[in-house]
Amino acid sequence: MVVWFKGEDGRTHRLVDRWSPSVFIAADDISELAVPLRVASSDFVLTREVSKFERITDTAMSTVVEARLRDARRAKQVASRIETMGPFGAFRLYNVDIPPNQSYLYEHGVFPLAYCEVTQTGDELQWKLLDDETACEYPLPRMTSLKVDVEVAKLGRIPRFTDMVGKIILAHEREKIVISEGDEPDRLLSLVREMRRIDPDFVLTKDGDTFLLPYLIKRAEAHGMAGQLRLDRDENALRLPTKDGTSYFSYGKILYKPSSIKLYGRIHIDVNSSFAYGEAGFAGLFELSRVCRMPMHTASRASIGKALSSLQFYHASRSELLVPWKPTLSEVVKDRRELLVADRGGFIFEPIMGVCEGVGEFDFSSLYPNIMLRKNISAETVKCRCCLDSKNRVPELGWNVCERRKGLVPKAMEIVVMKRRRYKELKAAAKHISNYERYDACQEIMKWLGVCSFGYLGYNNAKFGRIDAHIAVCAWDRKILVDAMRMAEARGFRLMHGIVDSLWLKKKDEKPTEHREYQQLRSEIEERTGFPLSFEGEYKWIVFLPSRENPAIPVLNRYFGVRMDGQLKVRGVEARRHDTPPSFKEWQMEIIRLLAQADSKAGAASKVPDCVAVFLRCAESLERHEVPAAELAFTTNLSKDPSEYRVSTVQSTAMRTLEGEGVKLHAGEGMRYVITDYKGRDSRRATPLDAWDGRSSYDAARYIELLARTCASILEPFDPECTETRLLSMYRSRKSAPLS
Amino acid sequence: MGRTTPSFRIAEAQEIAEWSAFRAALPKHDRAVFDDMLGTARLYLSASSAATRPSRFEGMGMAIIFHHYKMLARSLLHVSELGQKGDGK
Repeated sequence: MVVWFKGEDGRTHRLVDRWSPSVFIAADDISELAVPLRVASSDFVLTREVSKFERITDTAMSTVVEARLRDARRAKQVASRIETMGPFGAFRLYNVDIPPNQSYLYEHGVFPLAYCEVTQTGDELQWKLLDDETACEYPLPRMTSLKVDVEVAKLGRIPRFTDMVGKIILAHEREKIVISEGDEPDRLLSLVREMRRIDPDFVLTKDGDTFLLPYLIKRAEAHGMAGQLRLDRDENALRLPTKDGTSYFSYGKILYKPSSIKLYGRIHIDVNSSFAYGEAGFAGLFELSRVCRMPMHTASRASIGKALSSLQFYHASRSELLVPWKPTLSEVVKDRRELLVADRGGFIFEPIMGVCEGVGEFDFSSLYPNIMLRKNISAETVKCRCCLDSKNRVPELGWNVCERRKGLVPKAMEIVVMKRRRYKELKAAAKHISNYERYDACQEIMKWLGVCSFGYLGYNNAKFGRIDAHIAVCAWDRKILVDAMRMAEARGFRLMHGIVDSLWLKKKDEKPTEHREYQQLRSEIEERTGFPLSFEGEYKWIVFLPSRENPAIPVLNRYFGVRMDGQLKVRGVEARRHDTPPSFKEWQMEIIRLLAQADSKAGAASKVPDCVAVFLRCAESLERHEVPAAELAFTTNLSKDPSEYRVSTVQSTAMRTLEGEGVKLHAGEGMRYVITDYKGRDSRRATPLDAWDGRSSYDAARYIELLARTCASILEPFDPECTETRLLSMYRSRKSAPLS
Repeated sequence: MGRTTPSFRIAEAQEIAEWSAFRAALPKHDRAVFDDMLGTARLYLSASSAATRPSRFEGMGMAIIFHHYKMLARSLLHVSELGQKGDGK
C-alpha cells in the first residue's frame, strides 16, 4: 500500500507499507474449506482460522478462515472461483468488495487527513494516531490546488478528440498561467513542467473524467508522446481508464457516473462529477473523508450512499463483523394484514391550499437518524430473537427491538448525528464568515449522510439493510408526528401542512400568536416525544400551491413564503428545480422577492401589478433576443440510453444533434439545450448548448409562453385573474402598443 | 427489498384507472362530475393510507363519503345562518 503524507514542514512524503487485504471464507463445517483453500492457495500469502461474527444477526462468533490476498486486485476472481466450488451458500465469502485502501484505513484505525506519527519498521509502517474523527476543530496540513482548463481549437461546433489543443489555462492561488506558445507537443510538455513545478496536492478540472484528461491523453497519443504525459507524483504516464462509466438508478432518477482518472500522489477532483465537493466544497470533502474513512479521490466521486457504506464497514470491522459479498438477509415474513400496516411511509398531511398568514414552522432535527439512534433501529435489532419481551417496541406493529446490544446502524449514525448538531451550534456562534462557511459545509455533508442512512436501511444493494428496519423508522415517524399534532391541537393550533419531519401550524383564533406560545409548544413536544424539535419561525404569509394537473388538489412539496425576519422559504416551484433555465429561476425569484416585501396577504396581493411588470419586462427581453442562450438552457439527465428514445421531444432532438456531432451519450448523463423552434421540424426544435453558435436563435414565442406559466404559478394564489392565458394576452395587447 | 405494497397515492391512481369503463359509459357532462368526485378522495390521502384497509376502494370511498358529509354539514350550517339573518330582519 502506497501512503502519501504531508509532513509538518509542508513536504510531501511517499511511504510503502507491505500489506494486502484479506477475504474471509465460511462454511457450515470449517473442514470443508480445505479443498477450495488448497486450489486457490497460490492467491493467498497467509490463511488462518479466526473468530468473527459471520452474519449481522449472529449473537455468537463463528470460526471462519481469513485469507490474505497476494494481489488485492484479484479479490473478486478468487472469491468467484471458491464460491462456485460448491452449491450456493456452501462457501460463503466476506469482505471481498471492500476497496483495499478503505480496508487499510479500517485495519490500521486511521483516516484521511488524520494527524499521526508514522514509523517505518522494515517494510511495514507503524501508526500512532494523534487525532480524533469526532473532533470538529482539527489541524489540516497546508495543501495547494491547481485548476486546469483547456481551450480546444475546435474545427466543428463541438470539441472532438481530434481537435488540437488551443490553450491550456492553469490557475494556482493568484497566479494564472496560459500555455499557448509553441506547437501542440510543446504545450503538452509545458503542462507537464508546470505541474512538476507547482506540485499541487489537488488538481481541479471541469469534466476532467469525461473529457479534459481523456482529451489530453488522446492528443499526446496523436503525437506519439503518450509516455511523456506525466502529471502525477509517481511520474506515471496518464492512461485512459480501462472500464467504461456506469449508469445507475437513484431516488427515481437515472444517473451516470464516469470512470475516474487518478493522479497518484495528488487528488484529482472533477468538480462536475463530485457530489461532496459540489455540495460542500473542500471543507465538506475533508469531513466526509475523515468520518467515513474514504480516500479523498474516492470520496470526491462517491455517492453519499457509498460513503455511508464505508462508515458502516468501518464499524463492522471494529465489531468483528464480516461484510457479506452477497447479502442474503431477507425480510421477516408478514401476513397480508401486517404488511398493509407495516409497508407505509412517513407522516404526511396534505396542505390546506392557498395563502395563509401567521403560520409557524416546526422541524424535528435529524429525525430519522435520531430515530435509528435512540430507538436502536438496525437490521439485526428489529424483531431480534434475543429480546422477545423487549420494552422497546415499534408503534402500530408491536415488533420487539433489541435491548441487549446496540445495532450497527445506530453505531454508525452516532458520529453523524453528534457532529451535525455540534456543527450547527458552531455555525450559529461563528463570528467570522470563513468559520461560518466551514461549519455550514460540514453540517451539510453530515445532513446528507443522515438523509441517505434512512434509504439505505431498505436499499437492496446495502450490505446491512433490511426493509423491516426501514419500516420501523417510518412507524416511529408517524407516531412522533401524530403525537406532536395532537399536542399542538390541544394548545389551540391547527395543522396546515405536515411532511415527514416538519409541521406548519396556525392558531385557530385570529389573535397574533406570541413567540412564547410557539416555544411552549416546542418544549412540550420535545419533552414528551424525546426528539429534538426546532421552531423555525413564523411566516408573514405562506402559499401552499395546488397540483398543476388538478387545481383542486394540494401537493406536498410546492410552497413558498416569507418569515417574520424576512427569510424566504421556497420549495418545489420552478426556481428550485434543477431543470429550469437559469434566467427563469432568477425572474421567478425576483417576483417572489417583490411579494415578500409585503407583511400580509393583502399587501402581497397589492404587489401583483409590480410582479406583472416584471413579467412584461422579461418577456420583452426574450422577444428582443437579449437573453444569452446559456441563461435559457434547460438541464436534463437522459432517463435511458439514446437508442431507446422512440418519441420525438425537444430533449431527444437535442440529444440526436449531439450524437450527430460525434458525442457519445449514456443513460443518466446530463445535457443542456435551448428550444429553437418548438413547433418546427424535428431536427430544428432544440439545440444543445454545446453546439450553440452564431447562427442559432432561440424560440422567443415559446419561451414567453413558458415564462407566463412560471409567473402565473406563483401569482395566481394572490390574484386568481393572473393566469397564464391572462398574462400572455396582457403581453400581446401591450405589444400592439409601442414598447418602451 | 423496497416496498411491497404501493403507496396509497399510487394505489388510488390504479383504482381510478380501473373505473375508466364506468367513466366512459357516462355522458360528457357527467364525466366531469365523476372526475371531481374522485378528485375529492385525494384530499384525504393521508387518512385513507392510515386506515390500512385491504381494499383500496374502502379508503377512497370513505374519503368521498366523508367529504360529501362535510360539505353537506357546512351547507346546512350556512343555510341555517342565512335563515337566522333572515329572521333578524
